[in-house]
Amino acid sequence: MRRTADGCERSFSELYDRYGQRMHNYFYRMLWQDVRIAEDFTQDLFLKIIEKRAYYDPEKRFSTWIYTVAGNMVKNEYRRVSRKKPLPEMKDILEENFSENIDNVVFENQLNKALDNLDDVQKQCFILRYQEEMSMKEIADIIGCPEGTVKSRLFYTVKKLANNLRVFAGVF
Amino acid sequence: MEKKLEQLLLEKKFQALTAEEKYYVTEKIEEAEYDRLHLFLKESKKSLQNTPAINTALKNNLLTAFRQQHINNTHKRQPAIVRLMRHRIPAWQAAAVIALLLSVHFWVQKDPIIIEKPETVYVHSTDTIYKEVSMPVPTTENPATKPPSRINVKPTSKSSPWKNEEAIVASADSASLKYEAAQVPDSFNLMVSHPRGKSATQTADLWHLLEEVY
Repeated sequence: MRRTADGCERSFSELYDRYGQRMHNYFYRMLWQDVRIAEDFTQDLFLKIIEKRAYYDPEKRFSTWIYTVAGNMVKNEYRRVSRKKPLPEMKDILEENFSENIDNVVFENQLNKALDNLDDVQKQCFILRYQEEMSMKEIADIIGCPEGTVKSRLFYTVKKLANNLRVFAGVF
Repeated sequence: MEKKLEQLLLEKKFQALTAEEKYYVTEKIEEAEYDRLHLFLKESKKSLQNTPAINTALKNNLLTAFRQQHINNTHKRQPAIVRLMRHRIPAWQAAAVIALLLSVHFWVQKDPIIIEKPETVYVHSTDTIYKEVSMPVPTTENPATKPPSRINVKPTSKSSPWKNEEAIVASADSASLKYEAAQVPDSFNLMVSHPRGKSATQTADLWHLLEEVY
């Protein structure tokens, strides 16, 4: 990142190769699994890195910094869209889609919908932990809360999601 | 969620746990709930890996933007003083610098540095000038004109000089008082020692005589 800040194009390219897909995945999952929105946000994020590269604090880990910036962008988007996309009730979804031939695709859809029904911070914790595979400490740094809070939030979120998707338990 | 519990949930079914692990798990959650969470986490992790690939054109757009931004920055290079003023440092570093400056300031005020310089000092001194003058001496033994006898302190022959020490000291004190009581000019006091063998009165007379002559 220091080299990028000094205007090195190769280092910026390297940075994009490392984090481009990851940030795209993050935005995709956080912003209603919409590929177009995810691409727009990924582009905006890297443009911010280009324009505001002087504001990067070298004492912090780059991954923590970039996820913090991405998290703030997501929060702003949630705020901008006063109401999230209308989501059907969980019960209805399950009743509608449940069948004996249920497969992973269906589960994924249900999981995405269940995630969208979560509180923003719970959702962020869950995705950072199980999609981005970050440590509790890193998540705590990104969200800006103690590590213990992240642990308890995660446990509560996992229990809640598993409870909502318990109908799939016998099928896995 | 504790790390150990999470790790077990991600890796093993309840039946695959060791006795020790089962004991640990059942202290936290029930067996049925453990299996449900285990299946959920396993499937969720699998599902979360299914994400669409990013558009390859995005990288080219960003690299073009990066180049453009770099060119703009090169043209708009700020003066060194502005860049220096904008340079950010941690708060503790700023505090440390201020503390250092203050301590140096107080240290300098406490112990001022004294530099010794050699300097020539001119001392104005006046020497006493003696001049021999011939003067008439009275021949008659007139007691009125006879000068008082010189004050002299001598131990008596009868007693040992060290036995009558207090008397000697008293005599010396009285002689000293008489000498001081004598009216002598101020300049006389400047002399290191008065002429020996003459009393103060005699010396005063001599002084008056010298004044008349000159």
